[in-house]
Amino acid sequence: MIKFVFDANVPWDLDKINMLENIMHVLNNVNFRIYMSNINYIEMPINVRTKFGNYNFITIEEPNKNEYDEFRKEIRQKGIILDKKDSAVLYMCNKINANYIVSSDTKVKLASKKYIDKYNKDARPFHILDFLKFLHKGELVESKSCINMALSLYKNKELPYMIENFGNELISDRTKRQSWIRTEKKSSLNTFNNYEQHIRIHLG
Amino acid sequence: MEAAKKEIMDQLFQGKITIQEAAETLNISEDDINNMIDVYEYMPTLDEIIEANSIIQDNLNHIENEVFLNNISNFPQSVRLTDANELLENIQEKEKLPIMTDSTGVSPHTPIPFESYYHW
Repeated sequence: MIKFVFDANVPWDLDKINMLENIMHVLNNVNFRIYMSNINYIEMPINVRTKFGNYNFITIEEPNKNEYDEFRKEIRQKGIILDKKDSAVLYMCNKINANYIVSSDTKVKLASKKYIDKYNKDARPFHILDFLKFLHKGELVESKSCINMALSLYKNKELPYMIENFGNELISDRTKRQSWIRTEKKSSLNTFNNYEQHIRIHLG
Repeated sequence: MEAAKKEIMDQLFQGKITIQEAAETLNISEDDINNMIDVYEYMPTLDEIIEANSIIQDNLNHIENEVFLNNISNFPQSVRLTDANELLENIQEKEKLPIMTDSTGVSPHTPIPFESYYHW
């Protein structure tokens, strides 16, 4: 059995592109076990929790408070610095000896790599795209679907997120900032649509 | 958060200083630093983003060249064609998949008949 630990952003991002239910349907028929800490589970909106949590191959676990506090202190002493929610991802991995830690979060990916090296774990940090590629390699998802999902994730998650971060960094006035973000999002998405349509046409 | 505190927290997340050093610099206890870490929203630097992307590149090579070619026997109960076929049969029994609409609204993805993959 292949064991994955999911960060909250994985189901959440899949839901943003309307693919969560499809992916869950695929996973329901294979020999994977997916774990998520309850700390991360409750980060997700209720409708995402419902779509994700109601499968037998999913385990949502509430961490033991003392163990979790100790683990957080321990990894921080080793230079693996994560906030409380992100630490829960590594705690779960440590508890179940996962094969893959899946997260779209840069901080979690980097910290996972440190954790794997320092604790000599036989695991690997995966981005959500790696997970989709993994499913493709296992002949569970076709290439065209992977490309569609990668494009949609970039468009619906990465691009808006990037613009919001720029806006927050560059403009202090709230009203001006929101107006700038709104305009930049529209403009960037419009440009991206052209690229996307060309790519999709080539895909057939 | 004050600029000075933020700078220390960023250095801490970047691994440039230890919790003990951060506590000494800010003249607060290590427990206070731990409490601050718990809720701090750290933004990765450009170098860290590049480093994280190199993990994805490494994963691509790993998945493409190692997972199902050389190391497949190391995966207990690995997911391959057998399970994919079972999946295919299960789905075919349902005869019809729901039509998925791209959340962007650009183009709806109509399910394609199965051959060897799960399409949508």
